[in-house]
Amino acid sequence: MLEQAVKTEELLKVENLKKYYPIRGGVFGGITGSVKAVDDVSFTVRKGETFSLVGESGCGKSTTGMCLARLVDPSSGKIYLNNANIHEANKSALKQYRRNIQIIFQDPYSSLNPKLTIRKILSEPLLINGYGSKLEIENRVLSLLEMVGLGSQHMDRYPHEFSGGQRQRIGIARAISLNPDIIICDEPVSALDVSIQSQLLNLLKDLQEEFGLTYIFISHDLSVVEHISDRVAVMYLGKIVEMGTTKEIFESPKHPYTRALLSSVPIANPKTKLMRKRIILEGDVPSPKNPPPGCSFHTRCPFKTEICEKSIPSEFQINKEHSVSCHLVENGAIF
Amino acid sequence: MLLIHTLSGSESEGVMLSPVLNINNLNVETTGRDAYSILDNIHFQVQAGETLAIVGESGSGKSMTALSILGLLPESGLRISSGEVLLEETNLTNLSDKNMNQIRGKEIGMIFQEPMTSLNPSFTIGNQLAETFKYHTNFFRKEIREQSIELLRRVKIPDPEEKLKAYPHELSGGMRQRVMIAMALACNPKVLIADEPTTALDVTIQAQILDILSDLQKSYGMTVILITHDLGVVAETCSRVIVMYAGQIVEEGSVDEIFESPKHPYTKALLLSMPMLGTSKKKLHTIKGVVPDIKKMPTGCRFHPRCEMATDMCRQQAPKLEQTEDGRRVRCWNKL
Repeated sequence: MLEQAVKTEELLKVENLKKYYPIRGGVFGGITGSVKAVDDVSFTVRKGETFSLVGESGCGKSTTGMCLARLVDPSSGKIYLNNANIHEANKSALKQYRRNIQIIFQDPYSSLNPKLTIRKILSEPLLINGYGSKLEIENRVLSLLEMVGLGSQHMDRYPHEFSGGQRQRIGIARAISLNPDIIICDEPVSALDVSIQSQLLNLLKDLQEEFGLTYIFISHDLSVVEHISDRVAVMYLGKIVEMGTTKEIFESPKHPYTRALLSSVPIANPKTKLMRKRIILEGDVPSPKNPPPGCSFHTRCPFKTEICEKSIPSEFQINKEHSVSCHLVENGAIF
Repeated sequence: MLLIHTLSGSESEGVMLSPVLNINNLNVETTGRDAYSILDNIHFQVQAGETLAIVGESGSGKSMTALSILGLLPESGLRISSGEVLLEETNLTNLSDKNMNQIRGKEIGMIFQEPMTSLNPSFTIGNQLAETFKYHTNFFRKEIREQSIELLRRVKIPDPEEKLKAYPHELSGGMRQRVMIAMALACNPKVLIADEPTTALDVTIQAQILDILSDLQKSYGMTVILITHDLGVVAETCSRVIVMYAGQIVEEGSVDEIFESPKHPYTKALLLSMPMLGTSKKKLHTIKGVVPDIKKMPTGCRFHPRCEMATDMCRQQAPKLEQTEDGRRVRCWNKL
């Protein structure tokens, strides 16, 4: 708790980020509509914290991550890292930026080049960014491997010789190699077994403590998110519906979607089964091609009223840390 | 025959039931010059009306167990070397393909993990549902249609008449999984085997599907074998649990027993290594190392290289799956 109070320095600032993908169709293949993958998302990430984006598939959490790393170009919106403008950065500025913002991908099987040895994979970013002499690079690679719990005997092996968990460790080593400011972790443990998942989560936490790393953690797994994050943003259909400290979000969720999401998580304790009341949502997430008017959650919301169908709710501050986009919470209709 | 009362649901409480499915000392190995053991002496029973969970990490053999029950082991590469699978009185392991086809879909229903690939993309839902009826019953067209609509209604698919005309790509993942459940239920099977039915789905959709499964289980007294790696799902839906590790059963017991007082170090470590909602943010417990390779199984207890409590005994001699006084089974020299 003390730790949380210290983290106030803003590192990354995102304002009104949008990513629309055009839909082509018709006789001449013109643009007939757009998929609003990320629709007006704003948040800030503080130095040294873990900020999580949670949501179901298709909610835009990964696209947000890709926009931040500039792996896809946002349609509009502003991104600042240490007050430097990223959304308009040119090629050379981007190179510098990418050094400071690294990404760990979900699938450890396809994110490592199968034709390169681990030595090559890990020294490439160092070479490109002019880390130093051959010997310095070699030493750095070795110390990176040790940091993630591997050793020199692994240097000259190829990715296929490693298990999923080990590959993900290599992915982590690659991400931390240039001492970045921020690491985007896009579902880093989703493809792994429970016992391996816990090893990696502990590793991520250890590295954060040791090097003061800042994580943007993208996941659909709420128990993992609760475990690792300081602050959480819940996304639904391209929008952030609720944002706050982990404690607030998990102990007193306000948005009906957050509540439903939390109550859907199966808990590995047969005793709680009878005690808790589940909110089971009806239907599926609507298509982002054609999102419902008004509040995008109203089609599945158990509490919806007339106003929800008509106007888009704006962000409502419950307190300094906790904001929610819901008419009903704003009106005081639900608590 | 063993008479054990199960803990599943209120209806069956205290009622003496006989097992529907008996798996007796089942061994599966790879074919070829060196035969590696895939399943080692799998032995368990499934009581009528219960929901049995088979849990384990990838490579533990849980899916292979399901495939061997259904006689769906890949023909090249794997074979059942000994043991039997008894569905009531019939031994399924030595049935011909033709007879086995009569069992699959009719006596034993199945649901697979991937709702995206387990439906045929070029036929409508109605068409694929009808196929099951055509194969196993002699219903007329009208009856088939009525039954299909009824099935879709049972799995809570909105406007079922319309959905019969839909192709799989027009449905979402959750809807497709419901269709799979409907197909599996078509002939009122005695046992339903669900292999990771919700793993590919989002949590809110997972909650819907689990809700449907437990509803069906309650209202039709269906027997379900649920194969999963998610201990949360187990705690919420099942009555009895079998934990598998490296091709062996390591522990068996009721849900409450397993979660409250696991007796095998692996089960305990597995429970501790899961981040759980509402628990403290301390460091997670970890199990060092990885699941062993089938070609290089450790001597003695298969879990010993990763076990914190391993002794010399564990390194040298393989423990047997022993029945404890309270009717549970554990494979460990130093039971917790």
